[in-house]
Amino acid sequence: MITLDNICKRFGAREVLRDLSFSVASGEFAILFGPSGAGKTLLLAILAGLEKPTSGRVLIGGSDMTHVAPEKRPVTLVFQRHALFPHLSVFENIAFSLRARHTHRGVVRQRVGELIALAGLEEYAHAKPDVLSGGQCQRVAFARALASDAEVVLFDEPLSSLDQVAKAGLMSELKRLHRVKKFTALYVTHNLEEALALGRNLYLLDDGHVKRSAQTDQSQNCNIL
Amino acid sequence: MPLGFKSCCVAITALLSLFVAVALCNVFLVSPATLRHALSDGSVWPVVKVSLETSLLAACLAMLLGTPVAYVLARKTFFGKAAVETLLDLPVALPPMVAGLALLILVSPSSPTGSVLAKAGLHLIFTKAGIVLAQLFVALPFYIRAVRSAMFAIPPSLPAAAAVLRATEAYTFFHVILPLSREGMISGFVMCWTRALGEFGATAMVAGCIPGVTETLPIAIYTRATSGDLASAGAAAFCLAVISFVTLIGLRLAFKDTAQRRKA
Repeated sequence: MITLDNICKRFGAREVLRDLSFSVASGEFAILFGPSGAGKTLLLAILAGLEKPTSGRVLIGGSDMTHVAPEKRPVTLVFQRHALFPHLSVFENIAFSLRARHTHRGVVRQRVGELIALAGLEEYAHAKPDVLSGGQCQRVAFARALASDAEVVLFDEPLSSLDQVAKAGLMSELKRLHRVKKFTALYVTHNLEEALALGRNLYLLDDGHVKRSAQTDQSQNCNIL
Repeated sequence: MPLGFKSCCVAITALLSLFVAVALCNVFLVSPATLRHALSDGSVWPVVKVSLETSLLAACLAMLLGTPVAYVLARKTFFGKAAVETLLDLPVALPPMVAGLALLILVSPSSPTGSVLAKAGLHLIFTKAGIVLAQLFVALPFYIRAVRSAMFAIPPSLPAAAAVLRATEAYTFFHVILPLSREGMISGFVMCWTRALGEFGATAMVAGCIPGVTETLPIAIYTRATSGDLASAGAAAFCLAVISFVTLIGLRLAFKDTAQRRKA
C-alpha cells in the first residue's frame, strides 16, 4: 500500500504540492489524472525518492520511506520517454536491475528471458534501443521495471508520445502485465481517454492537491469529471 | 549564403590552411639524410622515450584523478562549485612559466610541503616525477573539461532510471555514466596527452634539462636550436610533429563511425 501523508513541495516561494494525501491499496491499478503542470511527475518523483518533499510523509507498505534513497525503496518508475540505456541491448536493459543487485548469472538469463517473452520482444533481445520503435521501447521499459521486483510500479505518462494504434496495443499489454504480475501501480496521465481506459480508481490532481477520487464503472463513465 | 560572403569565408579558410601547411612543411620536409644522421647519433631517442613515458603517465593520472572530479562538477550541486570550477580551470589560462614557478616553490625542499615530500622519499625537482607533476598540472584541466561536458550531456533521466532500478550510485557511475562518457574520456585523454607531450615552460622550471633524464622533446628542440644544432632540433621537432599528427589522425578515425552514425 502506498500512502502520501500531507505532502507539500515548494520551490522557493512557489508551492507545487499542498497538503496532498491519498492512498493506493496493494495490487490496485490507480490512475492519477490531471492537467499538464499540475505536479503529477513531481509526485511520482517524490514517491520514487528522486525528489524530497518539503514536508509530509511517504509510506510504502506501512514503512516511512520519506528519507529512504531511491535504490532502497520497493518502487520503480517507467519514464515518459522510456529512459532506456542507449549503450545497452534490450536484454541488458532488462537485466540491469538484476545485475545491479548481483543476481546469479543463470537467474538473470532465465528471468530476462521470461520477461522478454512476456513483452513479446524475442526478436529484439540483442538490439540496441535506437533501432526500436516508440512502442517497442516502452515495452522494454515495462519489462525492465518488472525485472526490478518492485512492489510498486509508477508510470509517468508512458504512452503520451505514441500513436493511437501503438497506444491501444500497449494499454491492453499493460493491463495483462498487471494481471500476471499483480504489482501495485500508480499511472499518471493528462489524457482522459487513456485514464478511463486503463484503471478503475481515478484520482484527480489539480491546483497542488488530490481533489476527488472515484471508481469508474465498466462502461467507463466516471462521475468525478 | 550570398556569393561574396561565401567566397570571403572560403578564401580565409584556404589562406589559413595554406599558412599552417607552409609553416609545418619546414618540420615535416627534413631531408632524409639529415634526419637519418640526427636520429642515428642516439641523442634523440632517449628524449622521445622520456617524453612518451612522462606524458603517457601524466595522461593516465589525469584520467584516474580527473574522472571523479569531472563527475562531481557535471552532476552535483554544492556551495562554492563555481569557485572550484574556476580554480581547476586556472592552469589553462596561467602562463606555463608561472605554473612552473608555483610548482617549484611548492615542491622545493625549503618549503613545508617540499620537506614533507623529501622526508617521504619523493624527490620532484630535476626528476622524471617532477616532469609528470608539471605536465599533469598543466594538462589536467583539458581532461576535466572534456569529460565534464560529456557527463553533463547525459540526460538526467538515465541516472534516475538506474536509481529506481535499485542501482547504487557507484554501480550507476561504472555502468551508465562512464560508458556514456567514453567519447569525452578518449578525446580528453588525447588532448591531455598531447598537451603534456608539448609542455615546455612548467617542465623546464621543475625538472630542468638533464640529458637522458629530464630532457623532453620540447626542451630538446629549444636547447638544440638555441645552441645552433638545427639538424638535431629538426629531428626532435619531426618526432614530436609525427606523434601529434598520428594521434590526431587516430582520433579522427576512432570517432569516424560515431560521427557517421549521428549524421544518419
